Amino acid sequence: MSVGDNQSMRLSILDDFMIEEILAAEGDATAADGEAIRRDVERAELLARKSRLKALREEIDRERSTSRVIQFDSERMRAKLKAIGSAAVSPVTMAARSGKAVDDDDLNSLLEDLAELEQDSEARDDE
Amino acid sequence: MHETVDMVDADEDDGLLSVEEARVRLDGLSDDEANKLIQISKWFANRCEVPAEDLRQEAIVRVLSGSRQCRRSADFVRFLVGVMRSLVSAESEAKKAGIRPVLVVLDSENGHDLADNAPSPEHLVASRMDDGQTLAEIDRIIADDEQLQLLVEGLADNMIGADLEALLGVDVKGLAAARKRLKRRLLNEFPERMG
Repeated sequence: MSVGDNQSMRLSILDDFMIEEILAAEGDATAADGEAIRRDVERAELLARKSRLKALREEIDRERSTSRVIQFDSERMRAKLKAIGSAAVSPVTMAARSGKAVDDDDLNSLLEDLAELEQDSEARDDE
Repeated sequence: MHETVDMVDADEDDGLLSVEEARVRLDGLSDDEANKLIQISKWFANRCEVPAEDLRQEAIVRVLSGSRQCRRSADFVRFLVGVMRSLVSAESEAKKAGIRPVLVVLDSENGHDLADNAPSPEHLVASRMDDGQTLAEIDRIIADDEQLQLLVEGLADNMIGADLEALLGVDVKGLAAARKRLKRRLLNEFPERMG
């Protein structure tokens, strides 16, 4: 056993001694002791609430910093996109893709963007 | 980290007090129980750079946040003592490892932040002496009382009862008086080390 371990052990034994002596002793308690602990509890309640609030704020910040996952009805969004008019969309996409056709990933991304726009618009309306 | 058998982590939820039940137990502490908790927190405060009041409050925060739960059948005062002891133990271990104290910053405006766990060069040197300094302080406090020195040595050798009586050359009453004297001196004569 190292010197450090031996010292920790001695202190631990003294901790045990002090705890048992204090718990076993005839008390000379006063009402002030009870009041002091009640103040501790009140302060701890406040600290625990602040801690929960801080954790909540951090969670919100984390959520804001990560990308949003948009859930939407794919068929409905396809219909909506069609209603907008594929002619209005495809040329732009085609041009951006150097004449290549819109693939599934592009289409899904487009549908997701549309769904996000719709959800944002609904959220603004709710406000 | 030292943990009593009555204290478990929050994910072991077998027969544990809920936060609300713990709050009721806290509110129901008697003056005598409060007095004992205060005395024990003062002893532990000698071991770390945290005022006794803050140590008690942090232990209660752990209980009210649900991160430490008490078995339903356990002695609630002993459970709280165990939480304080665990905090002091964690603090001591962190210091020995050269890490900043793990206890919270209680006056933070934004809740109680856990302290930075980054290595603390100043602690690399200072904290290695900490347990030794505490023991040296205890030796200093009882330097004028050979009976108490024998008692501390006997306790350190895990002696109890008749063996301690024989070591000190006293009877049951004499041993009880010596134990009481040691407790009083260690509680009252430790210098303020609280930051």
